[in-house]
Amino acid sequence: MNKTWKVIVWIVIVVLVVWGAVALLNKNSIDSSETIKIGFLGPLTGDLATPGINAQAAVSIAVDEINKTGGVLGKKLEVVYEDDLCTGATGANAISKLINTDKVVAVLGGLCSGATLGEAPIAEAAQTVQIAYCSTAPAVSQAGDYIFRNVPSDFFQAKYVAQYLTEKGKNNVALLTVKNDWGDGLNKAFVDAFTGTIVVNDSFDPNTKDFKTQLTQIKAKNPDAIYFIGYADVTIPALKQAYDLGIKTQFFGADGWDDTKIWDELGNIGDGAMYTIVGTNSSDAFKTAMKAKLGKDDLIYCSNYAYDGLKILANAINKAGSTDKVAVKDAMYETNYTNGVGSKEVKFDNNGDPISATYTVKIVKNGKAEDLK
Amino acid sequence: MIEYIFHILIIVSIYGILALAQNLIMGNTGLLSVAGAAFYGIGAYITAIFVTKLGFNIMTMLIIAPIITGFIALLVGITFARFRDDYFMLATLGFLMIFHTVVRNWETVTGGSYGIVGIAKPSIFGFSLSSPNTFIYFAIIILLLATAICYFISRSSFGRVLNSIREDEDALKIFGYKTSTYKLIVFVISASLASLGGVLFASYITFIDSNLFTINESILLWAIIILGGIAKNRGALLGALFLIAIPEALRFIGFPNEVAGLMRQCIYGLLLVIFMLYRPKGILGTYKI
Amino acid sequence: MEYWQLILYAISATMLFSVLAMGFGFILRSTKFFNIVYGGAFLIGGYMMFLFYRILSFNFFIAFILSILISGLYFLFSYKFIFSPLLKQKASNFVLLIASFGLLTATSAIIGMFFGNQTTLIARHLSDIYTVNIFGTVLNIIQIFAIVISPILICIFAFVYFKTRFGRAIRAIEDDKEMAELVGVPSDKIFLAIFFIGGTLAGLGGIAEGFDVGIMPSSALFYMLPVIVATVVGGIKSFWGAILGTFILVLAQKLTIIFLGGSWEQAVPFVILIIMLLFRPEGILKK
Repeated sequence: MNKTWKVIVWIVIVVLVVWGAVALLNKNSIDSSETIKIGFLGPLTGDLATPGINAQAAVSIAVDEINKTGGVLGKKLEVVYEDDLCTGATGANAISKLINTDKVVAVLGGLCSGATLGEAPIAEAAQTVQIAYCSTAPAVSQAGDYIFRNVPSDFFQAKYVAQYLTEKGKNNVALLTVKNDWGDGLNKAFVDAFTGTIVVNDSFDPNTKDFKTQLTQIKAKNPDAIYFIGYADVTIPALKQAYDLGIKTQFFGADGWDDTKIWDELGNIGDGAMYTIVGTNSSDAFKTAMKAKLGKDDLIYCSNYAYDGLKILANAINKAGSTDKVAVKDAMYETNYTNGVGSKEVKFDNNGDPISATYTVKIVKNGKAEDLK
Repeated sequence: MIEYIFHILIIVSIYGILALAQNLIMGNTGLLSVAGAAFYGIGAYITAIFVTKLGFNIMTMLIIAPIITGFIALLVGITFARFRDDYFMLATLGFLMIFHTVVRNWETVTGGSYGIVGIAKPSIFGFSLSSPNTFIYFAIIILLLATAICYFISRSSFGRVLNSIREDEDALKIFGYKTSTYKLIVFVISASLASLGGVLFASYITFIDSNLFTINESILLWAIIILGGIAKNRGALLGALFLIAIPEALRFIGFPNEVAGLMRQCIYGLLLVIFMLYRPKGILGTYKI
Repeated sequence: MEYWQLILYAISATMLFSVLAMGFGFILRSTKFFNIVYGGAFLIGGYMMFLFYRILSFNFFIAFILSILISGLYFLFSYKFIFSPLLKQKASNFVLLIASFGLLTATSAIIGMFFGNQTTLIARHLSDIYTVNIFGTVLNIIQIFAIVISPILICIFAFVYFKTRFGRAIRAIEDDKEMAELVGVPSDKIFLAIFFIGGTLAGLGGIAEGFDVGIMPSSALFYMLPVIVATVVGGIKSFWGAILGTFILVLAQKLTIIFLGGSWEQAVPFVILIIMLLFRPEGILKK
């Protein structure tokens, strides 16, 4: 029985230590009623670290700008950054910490739809406004009364691509999409929207790097275009293998291709590929600031929306006149944000989705993606 | 702040239940099972599907999920129970991977890669347990229930047979014990318990997808029971507390985010190696493996 | 043309992975447990090549030799410091398996910390990996390398295993370690050799994949599991078993992609595994 006592004592000690540390930190967080805190969630590590860190940079630029012009409610704005690893489970933990420990007034995040869907229920239960800056999965529209996003649902992206391809006379399309919520969402929406013939419709595990079998089959079917949905990890080998096979068909991708790592690695192999992204409205000032912050010329579109998202939140808090959560939420629904670097104008419908969506097509030339003129 | 501590404690409770279940099969019986994460996942998915699509109450799920999971475990176990150590491990590994792929593809039922959202939180007599402050009581009660079940098993003669299987299965067979049957029974019980963890998880996080139930989860469970102590129920709980709560505390010390998750993985791995080399029985364990 | 292309691709995949599986088979037969750390050597080989060749811009051959040396040493050290002590203590398979999973997890995590968790490509420019046209089908140089070098490697290993004293010693240990030691086989030295060589083979695999499609820390398990399945399916006790197993697995996977679609591919090795375990756990080839 001595052992049991030892264990009980141990457990008590551990709990006390943790409690103590936490109480200490709690003291610190109470002191900061001098600042208004907003939480940021994004994939700072993992497969989508590049867009995540890019977005983080944009947000820090927005914070600086806001603070230079008086902050929020007359106080300094502070953003607490947390890594959600692009997954719902990690995101849920992270947002819980942001809301309960850091006592943020609102949350900007996530980037990935899967992460947002895991985070949203916690925000909704805590009646905390959350605005996702890059989550395009259709399911986010129904995530809750307090959940917003300033990027449009993928439903529209796929529709846009379907129309674009038809306009350009590409009537036979092969569809190859990654098996996750993003890929499946686009796949389904495209199949619904496309009026031409889909000669192949296949998907693949996110960890796959071998597309040779599928590409060989696609080559044999000779489609007019290949709509390939995947992030960097799968796109690089896939396009290389397609190149090896001598596939000259037009490759078309989605917003996940707005990642400089892909085109840097592929070099000229990726030339000619096209993809859609949600339209952006970058100002020169923004581009310069991002270049300065990152040390290189690398602007991923999620960052534009992250920047806008933060400003939208700040505006809503100011409009509400307080940090009262319900008031902030109501103010969000009345948002009329203009001249953003993401969208020209942002207003929310009663699902918290933006009422308008624009897309642009980018094309890869000489290892760099640029807007298609 | 208090809510955040409760949140962590809820996660610790969930893993505590999973660890107890894993301990039953690995610690007491000595069977290396990778399927812990799979049954946890099955419990979570059953809960999610029944609650969102069929409108069941979480409370009912506490009964239904273990039954269904237990049944699946029975089918799986009948096939696997006669496998020897390594093959058993491989077979459970195969089961986990297949489960993963099936869930990810079976969109109509499991939501495929979208997962399932909007799982309702539990409510007792109309009182909703939606925030960590209230959910914690629910979690702790289930944890205590699971602990009680495991203690009961360990102390019983059934438990003693299990321990003997771990020590020397062949000897038992000579004595006429049908060891496959015992292994099967404990496999089923372990799976049902693990599914309770899944029920809790699904109703607390209210969102699940197939990425939650991977090999890394199983390895984490191994680390928990080995650290805490093989075949000791309180070892499982201690391990869960240590391996879940302490990394969360690390968040506060300001470990760079990029490295924190990987650091955790690294530590789990090294812990396993070190304990295997120097103290295979774990902190509180008494049995040598 | 399409069929020939698919067949050629399948052959090159089989060749590459069968060498990997063959190496694993040696480790499995001699230590009698599934040593997952083999996957760690795979990673180390690939990432060291990335470090030396791409980041430090060493000469290709120097980088290559260094990388497989390091992967061999990594695996050897894992034996010397972890598995040898455990084996001497007569640790159960349970303990050995857990230790190997632990070491692999830690290795992947450390690699992730240094090199990042995203895909890492070793080639300095992807266009370096050019393709060759063979009667209307294509193969890139890595694949050709695999098709050419693998049979040579396998033959060399087969020769050593069946025809040399060293090979006899290995077979003796595989059959009955205690007996072998009794008749004077220096089992510890042989183990060191097997582990080192196994490590180099795994590292070679990592380098090849790193050039061909890129590797990431999670690749260790991703490639390791099918290798294990291939060895079990083909027949653990047989030298040729690993090769046969790989062939069957690759074939099954490619057919699944063609007829069922790509998203089921990952489950195939495990379905085959379970079927084999149910009906013929020793594998196809007995010895």
